[in-house]
Amino acid sequence: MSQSNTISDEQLNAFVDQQLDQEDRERVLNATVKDQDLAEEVYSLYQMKELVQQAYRQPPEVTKSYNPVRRRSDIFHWAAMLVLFITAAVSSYQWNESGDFAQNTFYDMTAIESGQFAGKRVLLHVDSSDPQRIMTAMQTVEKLMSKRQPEKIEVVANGAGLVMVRQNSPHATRVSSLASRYTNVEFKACGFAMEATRLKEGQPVVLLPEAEKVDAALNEILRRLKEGWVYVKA
Amino acid sequence: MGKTGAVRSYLEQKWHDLYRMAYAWSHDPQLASDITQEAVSRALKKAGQLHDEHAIGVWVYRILMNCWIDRYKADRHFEPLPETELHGNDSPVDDIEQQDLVTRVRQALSELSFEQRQIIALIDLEGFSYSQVAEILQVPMGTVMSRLCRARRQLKERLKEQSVMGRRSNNVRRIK
Repeated sequence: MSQSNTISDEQLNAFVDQQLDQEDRERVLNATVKDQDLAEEVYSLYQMKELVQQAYRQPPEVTKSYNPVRRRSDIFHWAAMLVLFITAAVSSYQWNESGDFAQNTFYDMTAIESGQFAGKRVLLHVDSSDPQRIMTAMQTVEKLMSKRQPEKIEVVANGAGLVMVRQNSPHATRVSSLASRYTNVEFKACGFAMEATRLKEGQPVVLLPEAEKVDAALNEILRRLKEGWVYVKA
Repeated sequence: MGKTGAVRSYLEQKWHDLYRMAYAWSHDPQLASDITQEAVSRALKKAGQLHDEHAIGVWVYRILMNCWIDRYKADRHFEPLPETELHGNDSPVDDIEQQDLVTRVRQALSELSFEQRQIIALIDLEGFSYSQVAEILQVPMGTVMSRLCRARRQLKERLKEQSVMGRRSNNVRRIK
């Protein structure tokens, strides 16, 4: 490359991308000093790089970009993917070869009698609208708070489980009762599930006053796991 | 940390960058989100197949590209959005002039072929080296260089049409 006395377009690009070795870099640099056109070409390549970086520094947020008409079916696909992804992501912690999360982190509700939740922070994940499963989840909260005394419980509802924390939910009384009796029990609703439901029903989802919206259940779960919380799948 | 831990940690840090890359390729937030999620999910599942943790970026972006290819094969209507839809995006860019510039540049990019958008985004947005891009795209390094060169030449023309760059001659004078 350095034997040639011409500077190719490929070399100019490689120069602005810092892909040349020292010798070729100096050769291009010297050439640009002598040739104004070449210098302008290098400048325009730098300028384009900067423009591209600038143009994608803040890509549009997905939730704001939905076209409700065109995207209605897509968002349900997306919401379903999110549920699947949560499962995959949470499972990945179990596969962690370091063992950091492999033990004492993941439980199903059958484990609550074991007494190992005392003093722990527990995230209870509800992604089903099955009344029996939601009821069992509520009972789990009740049992944990009355007997095992974890430091805190966060019930995260997403996907079909959103029904649990919606206004006029058949579980509203139970949710309200738990939240009022235990200040360290909180209910969270997945913002993506709320958006999917809004598009389906044509009106915004109203949550129970005890429930708080989070951006995405996935983020909440991963955040809590990183903070050392215990994950329980309802 | 282990492979799974390394992949998980990388994905947590790079989620936004992966989405940004997919968006630069597609100019469709919904599609970009779908592909990003699919890639993240695949990467988590295949973490055990990662041979070199130092090459994790190349490995993950290759997965992202494969997800794109799979989606493209499944549904060939994935094409850049028309100009009106690009103008309709609502990135949180405050300044109107700045937003206009962003829209014009995105419009110019959207008029390139997918291969051209892809290579420009990998190098300019993510800062991959040419050899890394060659690995991601599974093409020889010479192909990366020539493809990038053609892509930028095209982009420059489009940017001129969008009045973002000057209309001066694009010919590079050779050193004699």
